[in-house]
Amino acid sequence: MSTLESIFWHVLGYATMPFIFIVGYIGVAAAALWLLSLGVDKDI
Amino acid sequence: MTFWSRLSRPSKASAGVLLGLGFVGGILFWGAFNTGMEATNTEAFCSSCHAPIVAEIRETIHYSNRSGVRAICSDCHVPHAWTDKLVRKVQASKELVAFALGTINTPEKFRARRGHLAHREWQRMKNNDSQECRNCHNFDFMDFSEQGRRSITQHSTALASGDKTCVDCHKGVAHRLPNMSGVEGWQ
Repeated sequence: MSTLESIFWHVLGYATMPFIFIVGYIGVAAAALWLLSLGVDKDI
Repeated sequence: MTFWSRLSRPSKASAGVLLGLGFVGGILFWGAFNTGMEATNTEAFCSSCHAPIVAEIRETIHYSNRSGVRAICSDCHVPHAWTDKLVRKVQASKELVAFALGTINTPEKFRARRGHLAHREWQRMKNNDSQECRNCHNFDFMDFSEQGRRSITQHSTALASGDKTCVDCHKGVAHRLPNMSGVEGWQ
């Protein structure tokens, strides 16, 4: 693997980590909002 | 009501309920993510593309030995540290393209490419000082009295000083070797 290719994959790989955290946050938030909409927050 | 307006307005639920939802949801997401990632570390998953190579390990000591300890593909080919593993998994997305293109989908194509694949893997292991070997084989606990004369000589000099790393000598320990012409140190 060339140095350029190695840099490319490491940048992409490390950039994936915050992406995963953000996707996880949005996914959990969406699921939580849906759950809340079934009960106490239904009349907002 | 839109997702954003729901997200930006205070909930009627108690702080404890909201924190609990976030806590449980976070655990579920993280568990599902890691379970999915670990599923790509199984031998069955690797075999779906690399069946000929996976079969070769059955003839080696890394598959069957007196102590019953064995290595699977990911033990040697995927870093164990989480961040390094994720980088390798992202890099492996390129291999999905190769799968779609059928780069090694016949024995002939595989044979033609195995030298290239082996060289890439040897270089990766050389760059990380054979980290995946060292996950199990710890130099500090090697008993030289149990090793052969040639092993003692090499391990106590080149390996101990860091001039060489495991994969410099131990090629083909779990697979058949490709065409070795041009490989350093190979006669």
